Parts: sequence; C-alpha cells; structure tokens
Amino acid sequence: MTNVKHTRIPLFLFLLLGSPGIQAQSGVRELERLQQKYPDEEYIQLDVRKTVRISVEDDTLSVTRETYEEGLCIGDRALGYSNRSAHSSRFSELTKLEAYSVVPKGKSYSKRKVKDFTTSDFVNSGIFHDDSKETSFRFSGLTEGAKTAFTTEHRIHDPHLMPLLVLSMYAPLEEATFTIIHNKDVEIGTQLFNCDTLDLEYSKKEKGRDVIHTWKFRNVAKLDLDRRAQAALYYAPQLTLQVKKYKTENGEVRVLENLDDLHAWYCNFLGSMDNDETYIAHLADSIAGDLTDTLEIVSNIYQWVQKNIKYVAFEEGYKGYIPEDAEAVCSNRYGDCKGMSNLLNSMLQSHGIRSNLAWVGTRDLPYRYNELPTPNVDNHMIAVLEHQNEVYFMDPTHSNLPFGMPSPFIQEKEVLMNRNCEGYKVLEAPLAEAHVNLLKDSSYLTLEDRDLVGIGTAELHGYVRMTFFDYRAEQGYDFLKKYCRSYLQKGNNKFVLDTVWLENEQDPNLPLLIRYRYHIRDYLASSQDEKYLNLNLEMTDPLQKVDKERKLPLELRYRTRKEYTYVLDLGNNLSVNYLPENQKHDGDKFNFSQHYAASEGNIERSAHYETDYILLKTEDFTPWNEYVEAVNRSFKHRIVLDTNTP
Amino acid sequence: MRFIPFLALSFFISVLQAQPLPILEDEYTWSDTEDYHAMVPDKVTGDAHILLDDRTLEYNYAADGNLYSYYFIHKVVYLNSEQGVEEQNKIYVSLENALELLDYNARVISADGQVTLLGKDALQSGVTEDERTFNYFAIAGAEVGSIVEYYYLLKRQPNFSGSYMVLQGSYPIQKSQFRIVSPTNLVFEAFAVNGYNEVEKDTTYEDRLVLKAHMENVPKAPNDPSANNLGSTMKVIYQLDDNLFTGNTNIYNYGTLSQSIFEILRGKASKKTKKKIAKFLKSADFDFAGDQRDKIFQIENFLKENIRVVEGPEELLTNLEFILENKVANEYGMNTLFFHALRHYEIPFEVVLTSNRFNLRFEEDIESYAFLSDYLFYFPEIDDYTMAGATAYRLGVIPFGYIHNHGLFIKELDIAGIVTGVGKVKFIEAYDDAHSHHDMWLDVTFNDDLSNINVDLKEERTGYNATPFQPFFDYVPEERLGEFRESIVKMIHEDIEVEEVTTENSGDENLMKHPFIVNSTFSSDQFIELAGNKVLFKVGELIGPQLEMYQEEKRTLPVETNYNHRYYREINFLIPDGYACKNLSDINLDVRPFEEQDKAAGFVSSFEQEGNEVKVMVEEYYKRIDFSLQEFEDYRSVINAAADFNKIVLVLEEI
Repeated sequence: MTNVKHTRIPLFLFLLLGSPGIQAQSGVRELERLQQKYPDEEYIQLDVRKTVRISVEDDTLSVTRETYEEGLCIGDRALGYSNRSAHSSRFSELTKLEAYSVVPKGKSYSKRKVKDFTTSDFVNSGIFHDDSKETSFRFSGLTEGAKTAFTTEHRIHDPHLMPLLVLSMYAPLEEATFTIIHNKDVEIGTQLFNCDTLDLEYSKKEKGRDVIHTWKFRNVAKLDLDRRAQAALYYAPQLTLQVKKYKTENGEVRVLENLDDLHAWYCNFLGSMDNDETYIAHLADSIAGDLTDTLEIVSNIYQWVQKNIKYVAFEEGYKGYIPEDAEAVCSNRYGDCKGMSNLLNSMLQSHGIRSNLAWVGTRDLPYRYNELPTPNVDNHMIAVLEHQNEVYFMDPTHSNLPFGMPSPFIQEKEVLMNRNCEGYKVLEAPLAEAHVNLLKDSSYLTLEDRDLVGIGTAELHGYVRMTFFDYRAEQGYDFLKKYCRSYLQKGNNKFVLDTVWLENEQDPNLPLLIRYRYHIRDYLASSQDEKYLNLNLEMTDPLQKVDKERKLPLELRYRTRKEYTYVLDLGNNLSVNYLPENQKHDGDKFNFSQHYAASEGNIERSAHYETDYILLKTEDFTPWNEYVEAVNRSFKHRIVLDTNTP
Repeated sequence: MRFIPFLALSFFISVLQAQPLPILEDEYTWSDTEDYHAMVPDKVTGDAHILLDDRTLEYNYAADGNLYSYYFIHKVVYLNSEQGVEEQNKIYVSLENALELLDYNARVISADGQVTLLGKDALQSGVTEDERTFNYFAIAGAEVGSIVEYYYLLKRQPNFSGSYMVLQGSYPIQKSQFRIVSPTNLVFEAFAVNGYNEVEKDTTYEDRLVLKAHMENVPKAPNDPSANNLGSTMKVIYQLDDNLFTGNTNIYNYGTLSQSIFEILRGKASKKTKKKIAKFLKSADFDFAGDQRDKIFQIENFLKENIRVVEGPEELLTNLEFILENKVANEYGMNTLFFHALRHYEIPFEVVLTSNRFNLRFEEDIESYAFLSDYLFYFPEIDDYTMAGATAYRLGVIPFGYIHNHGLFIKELDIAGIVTGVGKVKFIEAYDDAHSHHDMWLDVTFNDDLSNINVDLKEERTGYNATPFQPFFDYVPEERLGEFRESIVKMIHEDIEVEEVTTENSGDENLMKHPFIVNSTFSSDQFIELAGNKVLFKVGELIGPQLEMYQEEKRTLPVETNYNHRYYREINFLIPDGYACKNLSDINLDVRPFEEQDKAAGFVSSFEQEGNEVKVMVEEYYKRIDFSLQEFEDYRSVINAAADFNKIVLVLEEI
C-alpha cells in the first residue's frame, strides 16, 4: 500500500517552532495580507487537500480518502465558523478525525486540540432512519488571527461508490489540491465540473507502481447561494471519479466503465427483491375490478398506492439500493421511493401491463447518465409506463401528483428506465408547459354600498392543483376556510371568505374546482357622485422582482399560467364613466395581458399572466424586472363609475 | 360489539422482578376488553381524536436504593383523516431528562377490529442536528379509521421542588388522567389550573400515596389570536410537600428559599473572587456622576457588552472565576455576577423569581417552585426591573413574557450579622403605553406628473417597539448594516426606493436611554393609482400594512396582549397646484369604545387644512393588557380601525 505523507508543512506550524519574535511577525504579516485582500470577510480557507488512494490488495480494491482543511479567522466575528462535522456511513466509513485550533494569546499562540466529538445518527429530514452518522465538534477560541485545522480519513467500502471531491465555497479559498493516487493496474475516469474559469494546474506523474494525478487550485472565490438558486453542486468546483476496471491475478474486474455497467450493478439489487407475486396480483385485481381500459386500470392502481401508502424513507446500507418487497410496503402502509415504486410496478406487471422501474436524479443533481455513469447521478426511483408509443411517468411517493406528470423536481432530468434487467433506455422527463399548470379564476361581482360582493369559481390544473393539496395540512372545514381565504384573496386584506367548497377533490386527473362566495368591505373609494373601483383583484398575489444584488439564476418549481375573469353587474344605479386602457406585454418567457369591456349594465375584465420559464438566467433579470414593473403599474388603474341620477 | 383479543402483557424486564416491584406494575399495561372504537364520538372534526390520555408519575426507590421518578404514559388515538395518519406515522418519545427507557409497546387496531402488535422493533432512535436524542415509534399499517395505542415508561432523575404537566394538546381528549404516586413517607401536593378538575387523594392503595386528577372531554388546547394560549392550557402543578421520615414538612416553600437565596448567591464569591470582580469593574472606568438609574445602567451595560451569555448547564459557566477569565457565562452565572456587581457598588435591589406567563402563569395562591424559573432584578428606589441574563435588553425593559405576571420578590435582610431574606409575592405591572411608543412623521411631495411621491421620514421608537431593532446593530455583520437599515424603512412598503437612511442611537447601550431614531428619504409610485383623469392618493398605506383581525371560530379566551403601546403618525402633504381634494373628510375615523370607561384602547385619525397644506394625524393606543371576552368585539374594532385607515384613498381632481 502506498504511503505518501504530506511533504509540505503547513505554513502556520512554523509559528510554533522558532522564536517568539518570528512567530508573531510572520503570523501577523499573513493576517494583514489576507485582511487587505478580503476586507469584508471574517474567515478564509487557507488550504484544502483531498486525496483518494486506490490500490489492489488480494484481488480487491482498497480505497481510502483523506482530507485536510486549514482556515484562518481574519475578522472578529468568525465564531460562526466554529461548528464542524464529518459524515460517516456504511460505505464511507470515517476512520480518523483530528482537529485543533491555534489561538493568539498575547504575543504568542496556544494550540487547542479538540477533545469533544459527538457522534449522532444523522437525521436527514427526508429519511426516517439510515446508517449515516454525523460526528460534530467545535473549534474553540476563534478570535481574530486564530487558525483552524482538521484531518479526516475515510475507508471506502465499495468501488462503485467513489467519493465526489468538491470545493466548498462558503469562504474564500486560497489554495486547494485534489490528488488521486492509484495503482497502475487500476483504470480510472475523472471529470471536472465548474472549473473552466479557475486558476487550475493539472499534473500527472508516475512513482513506482503508482500513478499520481494532481489538480492545484488557487484563489477560488466565495459563493453565497442566492435564494432559490440551483443546488450548490451546480456551482461548486468538483472532480468526479469512477473506477472503470482493475487487473488482479485472476483477471480483469470491471467496475463502472459505462452506463451498461451502472445499469447491471443496479440490476443486482433488483435481483435481491423477493415479491410475493400472488399477493400482489390479488391486490391489483381487487383494485382494477371490472375495468378493461389499460390507462384507467393504471390510473386506479397508481392512485391507490399514492393515497394508501405513506412516503417514509429507510436507507440502511445496501437497503439504500434494494427496493423493499412489495407486500411489506403494503402491509406497513409506508415505504420509500424504491419500495413504493416496486409495489406499483409489480402490481401493474402482474396485470400484464408494460410498466418498468426507473432511476432518476432530482434537479439538485446536475449530472446526466451518459456523461457520468456512476451512482452520483441519481437519488430517486419511479415507475414508468410504456403504452401505445407514449411514456407515462409515475411517482407514487407524491400523493397529489396527477397521472402521467412527473414530479416537478425531475422535470428535464434524464430517467434511466429499466427493461426487466435485459436492457435499459434513457428518457427525459418533460418540462410541463405553462398552460398545463393552469389557474383559472372567474367571479361574478355586484356592489352593495361600499362593499364588493363576489361569487367565484377557481379551476386548478396540473401542478397547481397538486400544490394546493400539498399545503392543505388539515382536513376540516375550518382549515379549508383559513387556507382558501389566503389562497383566493382578492383586492386587499379586508377580503372576507363567506363560504367555500370543493368539487372533483377525489380524482387527481380532473381539474379541482373551488367554489366560493366572498365580499370585500369598503372596497369602493368615492368622492361626491363618483366611485373609483380597482378591478385588478388578483393584485394581492404580486410578482417578485429580482434583487439587484443577485448573481445566480433563479429556479422555479414549474411553469404556470393564470387567467382571471371578472364580470361586474352594475345594476341600475351605476354607469361607466371611464375604463382603463388594455395592457399587454408579449414575450416567450413571461407575458401578460389585461382587457376591459363594457356592455349593458356590465363591465368585464379579463387578464392572464404566464410565467413560462423554470430557470431565469442572469441576462433575463433586467427584462423580468421591467416586466414586473409593467404588471405593477397596470394594477394602479381604476374604473370610474357614475351614480345615475334618477 | 367487537372484542379485542386478550393480550397479556407483562411489561417489566425480568431482572427487576427479583426485587419487590417499586411501581404500580399492574396498572401499566393495556386493556384487553375495552372496545375503543365504541368510544369514538359520532362527530369527530379534527384529524385525530384522543380516546385516552393516561399518565402516571411515580416516585420510588430502585434496586440500587436510590429514589427515581418513573413517568408512564399511555395513549389511545383515533385517526380521522389522511393528515391524522400522516402525523401519527411517527410517535415521538422525548428522552430529554430521561435516564432510561424501561418499557414500551405499540399496536394498531384497524377499523374492523384487527389488532397488529408492533412490538419492540417498532421503536427507532435518532439524534437531531442540535444533538438532542429522541426515540420514536414507527407506526406501520395505520389508515383512516384506525386506532393507534401505545405506552412507554421512562426512568428519570426525580424533581421534587416543583414541576408541571400540561394536559391539553392539539386534539380533544375523551378521557384524561394524571396521577402522582409516591412512597408513604413522601407526601406530594398538586394543584390543577385553568379548568382541569381538582386533584384528589386516591386512598385505594395502602402501600403508597396516590394523587389523582382526571377529566372527561378535555377540549383541545386553545388557539385564539391575541390570547395567552399556552399559558391558559390546563395543567397540574406539583411538588413534594412533606417527608414523614425526616419530619420535614412544607419543604419547598417560599420562606425557606427567600431565607437562603442571598446566602447562596453571596457564597458564590470568595474573597479572592471579590477582588477579581472589583478589578474587572474598575477596568470599566465608570462615571457615577448621574443618578442611581444611570449607575445601574452603566454597570449592566458593561457586563452585557463584555460577557457572552450562552446556553448550557455546565458548572463552569456559573463559576465566577471562569466567567471573568473567559468572558462567557450562562444565565445563572450572569445573574450571580450582576448580583455581586450591584453589591460592590451598594445599590439596593431585590431578587425576583418568576416565570414566563406565556408558558406558565405565576399563580398567586399556589406556592410552587415551578413558577420560579427565571431571575429578574428589582430596584425599589426607582421601581424598575432588569433581566441580567437577557443581553439584548436593559434596565427599564424586560422581555414581555415577564411583565403582567406575579413574581416572588426577595429582599435581603441582615439580622445581627446573619444574612437572610424575606419574600413576598407581588405583581409585576406592565409598562404603560408611553413606554413603548412608535411615532412617525412623513413629509410627502408629489412629482410633477403626479405619478410618484417623495417622502421625508422620521421615526422614533422606544421600549418594545425599539427592542427588535436598536440592540441588533451590534450583532449584524458590517456588510449587512445598510441592508438592515433599509429593511426597517421598507416595512412601510416593500416596493419603495430608499434614497437615504440614517439611524440615531442604535446599539443596545442606548436602549431605554434614548429613543431609536430613523431618518430617511424614499420615493415610490406605489401610493398612487389612476382613475381616468383623477389621481388617487393612497395616503392610508403610508403608515405601513395593518393587521386585519379575523375571528371566525368561537373564541374561548379573553385577550391578553404582549405589552401596552401607542402610535402617533403625522403625514404632511401639499395638494398639488391645480388640484383639489373633495374627500378629505374620509380621513376622520374615531373608534374609542372604552372612552367612558378607562380609555383602554382607541384609534383616532383626523386632519387639519390650511390652504393647500394638509396635515393628517393618527393616534392609536392600547393601555391595558387584559380585555375580557365581552370586550373582545370592541377591542377588535380598534385593531381593525387601523386596517380601515390603511384603505383611505384621497381623490385629487384637476380644477
């Protein structure tokens, strides 16, 4: 086993050797230099080193990962950087963790070793119980001039699960090095992401039986993730690593050379499933009943799983890859994405329907299957139906997802669809069009004194319908009223929802209809005989401008379209004096229109707003802000009504 | 009638069966004949309904001879909806303060009577990100119409001096019971508050003492706006009263505590420590030329600026020498240091022990250490308070959970060299409305085409209106200060262009000494709307968004506000040349329902006009914390008057 030690002694250790005078001076100089370089920062990453060693031992691979991280507090509010942690799991086992801080004390420094390490079962919000552990600790004494250092070592237990080497951008980084050391008998593949504009130097050398690859980074800027930016992995400089194959005495062992290999490895896990076929067929039959149409049967079985099984994730060891047996999921009434997809898939297959399991990476992962054929690519499992040349994506973990629509968080992502482990196909989950996620809200209005009284119907389609139910936390009418009062609010906060009820609640494939009655008190402004009415009632749901400080693209969950129609019955006592001008703003990515018309005793206003993007790029920020301003300006126009003199 | 099959469950681990069982073993099991489904009321509206909530806290000796408390809870929950099933998927068992989880079990009874025992494997464990351990039952197989039943038994370090149990939760409870069991020599006392049935002695047991409180149809915990919901929940407060073996009676009483507290606090500083404290205080270089209030303020400010208060029960954080050396303490340590600093400068004070009324109200006629969770310092010569452990607060303003509540005021007595104290329960009055006022002066000018307004704003905040802003200037990172200042002005409206903003008297050293002042100029087109050729000036929105108070469900609690406060807003503007405004009288609003009575709350807006100059004046005040249920609608009308003012639109028309 190779055993290359660090050859470079960290700079600040010099401060602990030698005379106090030199210590103080060189330490102070470095501190000053960095304070000048980064006047607004509190903390700097001085040196980050990540090394992976791969060797062949007794016909198997031995893989270890070492990290070393050194930082410096250049401000006096660096306490926020005290808490750290190291992750450990069955596949990536933490074998060493050491940490210390070096704290200025008068003219010299004192070294403080970290002694308290707390290891806890890492509770991931989406995961019920897994074997991940988090070991946390605190650096003490982080005042201006203090340094931090910690070292970790992990043993990687499965060569399919090679670590991702990432540079964290939480603080400016002076220097970083990625090193891969592998035996000549091991063939690896590496890829860099997000490194194009960086000061990066690559070198390769051979030493004995080893090949050493080194990537040296300098001056990597800090990155604060804006709100609703894409996940950090889209921006963080990283090196992906895959072991393609290696030679042993007994021949060549293939690990992950291409997508075929990844698929084959995943299929091993599917092979470990042991579904009770009879039970499943029986269950599927009882749900399908007398139905004969394939899509109807699928829809019914899909809905049954969505409604009756709760999503809860277990991920212990390889269970993180092996779907739980279908009947276990059923009797437990809960399962994770793999278990639930397995249950759905096996029920459909038992009925002779062409359904398949599929792996997919959510939008938090920036990779594509052919580009990176390793398990880093995906983190979710769904089922996919092939029927009459169409493909239907089904995610049973989401109770309110309409049939055929993929979960919003996998739109545009590649899906690796299994074909009974004899083959696979890479599909792309579609990006739902704006008009599919439609909110159509119409009201019939009358005026009673100063109050505006309305009877309305809101129609919710696609993801908009789904989201309405996602946030409906309680079943009762009290909650529905409170929820709808906020969801349907018109005009201003004097909106009172008098009554509300739902239609088509049970069938997620039909649009949801919300019927409601409301009034807005004191809504009319008046002066002598004139009344001024602002009929832009949907203005309580304003669009947000992009902050001028923002640097990163903004990601939405899905595209939407909203349509509003109001018919105001003026009765006998009022007539129209003035109607605002119609408005329009065309565009591919976002557009709106507003239209007024008056006819006998009625005023009709219709409006639409379409947000036709899922990612707003930086070059679109200004046009978007101008669009929002145009919409906001349009809300400032009122109708003028005259009281008819008898 | 369906019968649930008999399930014999002996719940205790065999090891302990060798000893005489210290607890009510036969009581800690679940029923075999009870038909829970028959108990479910016809009309269940919530997502779940608790059929049984049975708790026992038993004090007893373990095999090792030590005294422990054993907390047993047994619950039967009916699941009425998908959300209910979702919620009961995981049933949390908090291990905080627990030494050991001794026993547990869970089962699911389906709508048709099928029982699925979940067994010991159902219990999972985890630790949260902030390092708190918890266990939970993973409830499998539950559906709408199912009943989930579980129990667990925890062994704990016993608390004798005063504690309480909240007996109302998110769902109504059909049958509720709470018992305190103790060996015959340890006599406990317990009191029910807020409407729970009184605690009685249960004399069925000869070998132990049992106090029992029980009630049927306990409503779910209240959730009314502007009410003290948690403080009003039904509770039982309990503590040890007598120990018949030692002959001590009325063990945890206020008198004993009052007598010893000063001695204890004094004892925390040895002669050596006192010298260090003196040295530390000397480095502050105080200037005590001012009055006593100023003296106290300087001392407090110095301590709070130099010592960091963190959470943690560690002994070290209460040790004065450690605190002085490392400049870090916990709340108790800070209280101790402050105590000694006050003594050093011979400033008269009283220690006040009390509770946060929004968790537990200090009950005047119940003597219990459960109420004595927090420290305040009271200064009789200036009749004012401070909380040493609250670093963002200063003399003259304590966190509002502690005002309008009783407290135990303890005065030190020195009787012939013997240090003692005397305590008295008194009421901590809320500050008056002037204490927390927020005044705004706005000078508004229209631009030439009347599409935009330019505003010169001055704001002055004091008391609780200042606490969310004034202290934080010392904590917000430098680079964020500009954003922070702007955000205060943007509370009027998100969409305004702040041209300039400066603040005066920021920083916690100014809290209660000087009002927090904001000066700003901003412009916006958000306050203007157009109607044909008329310009609508939304003058009402310039005071910022106002809450509209809804009350749809029947209200059960009276109003209890956080603190008394008042507002004054003045808006000056010029009616543009060539324009007239005919509906200025819309500005006049007068909602003063308590005027004849005690002027407890009111809203008045009016205007003055001289030529084209208009001055709008708005006054809003709340001088009382409590408003009864009968007074609720009147109280609400004042709150909503502000929302009504928000909607006032002045119509400007060309002449």
